Amino acid sequence: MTCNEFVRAIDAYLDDELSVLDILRVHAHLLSGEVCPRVMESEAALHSLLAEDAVRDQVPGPLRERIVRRVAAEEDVEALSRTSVARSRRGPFAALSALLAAAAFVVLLLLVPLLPESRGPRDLVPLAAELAAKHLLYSSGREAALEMRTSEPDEMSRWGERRLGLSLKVPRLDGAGGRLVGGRVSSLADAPAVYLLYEWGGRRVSLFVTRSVPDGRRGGSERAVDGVELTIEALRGVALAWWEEEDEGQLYAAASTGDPSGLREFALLCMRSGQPATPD
Amino acid sequence: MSLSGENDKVRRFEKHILVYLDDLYRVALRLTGQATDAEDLVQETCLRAFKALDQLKHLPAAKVWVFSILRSVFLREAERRPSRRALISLEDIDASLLTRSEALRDAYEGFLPMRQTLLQETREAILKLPLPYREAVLLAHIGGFSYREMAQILSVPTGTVMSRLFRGRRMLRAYLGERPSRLESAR
Repeated sequence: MTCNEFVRAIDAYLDDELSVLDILRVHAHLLSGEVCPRVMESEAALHSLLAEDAVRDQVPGPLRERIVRRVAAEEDVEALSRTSVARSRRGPFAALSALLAAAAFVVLLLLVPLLPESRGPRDLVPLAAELAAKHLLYSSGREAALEMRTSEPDEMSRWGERRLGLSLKVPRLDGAGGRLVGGRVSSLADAPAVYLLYEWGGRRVSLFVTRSVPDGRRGGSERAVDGVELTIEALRGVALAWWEEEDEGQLYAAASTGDPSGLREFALLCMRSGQPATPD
Repeated sequence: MSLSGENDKVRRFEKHILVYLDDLYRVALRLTGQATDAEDLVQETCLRAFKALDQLKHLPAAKVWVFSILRSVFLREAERRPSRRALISLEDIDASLLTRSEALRDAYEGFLPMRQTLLQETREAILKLPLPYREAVLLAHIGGFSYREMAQILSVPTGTVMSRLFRGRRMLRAYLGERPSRLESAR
């Protein structure tokens, strides 16, 4: 091996890309001179420095959890889509309903990036789009994708607390013409959430309860209701409303097809009935 | 709904993709230069990998696969955000490559023992590398990929990988300010 050949082989040698025979040649050449060993030593030092730098950074703790939560939520959506398709085999109307829901979901996701810039897509997209999409999926079909079926808010509350460790106030709407149908574990804005499904005013209303979201109230029009900032939004025919219970550090987010003013009334009922010790 | 099916996919994702989270984050950090950008990049990469997980038929290739996704997401984002550090084109690189003899001569002049360099300087030097060289250096030193694997990820011939590594390391050496005079003073 000549010195030129040796120089050409250094990177491959240090990158462990040489054959055994070539490695032996490199070793033999290193014993035959003075300059080449210094070249090798210098290059090895650079490799060591890069290797040392390579392992310096640790992954931020929450990143792993955030990723797992996001993929789990993604799988939720995928599983629901599969469920909708499976249900479609039960009858022509159910099939139509599931297909419409799936189509609405896809259209919604496609249209979200096209929303006017003035609205601030980064503000609006995460919560509103996710809320609308999940409402369409969870509340579609003859049977909602619920893990827990009960019309009793206290029972629902205990179930949610057990599943997520979240102190949960499930609004009681019995006296206001509403009825709890059930719930499931879900996520919203990258945080675990309890999903509640209500029947109220002849329609299905979704209600998510999760921890406060820093940007949760941005976008849409806010107004103070009973001392709480209520945000109302509408996205592709889905009315959305969300508010924070600051004492609890929790975000409530509701969605329903139809008139936003109707959902505002629903939100108001939830705020008032969400107080503890509301008697039957 | 098949909960076991859901869990299975999440479990497969954790087993075959999330095990590379450390390396993904480290490469992302050196590609973007910002911790928050790196987190976003890794998160988006993982989400895309999860969605496409069923397309991954050859599990031993999972690492190459997910790093290819990382690169694709990064390049797409870099194109979308013109304010980001400018990327040089491959034509620029090809035009600037030294001939082999020039490279060898330069190598002999520059191949001198490294002084103790602060790791921070190394980090800064890596961030100064033009993207094609930075990618090659990061994939080699953080990802631990072979030349063949890097060629797959970068979609270039193996010879190009070797050239980029050679030139990238040489540029690093230059950025780190290694010169004979400084060497003598350090001795």
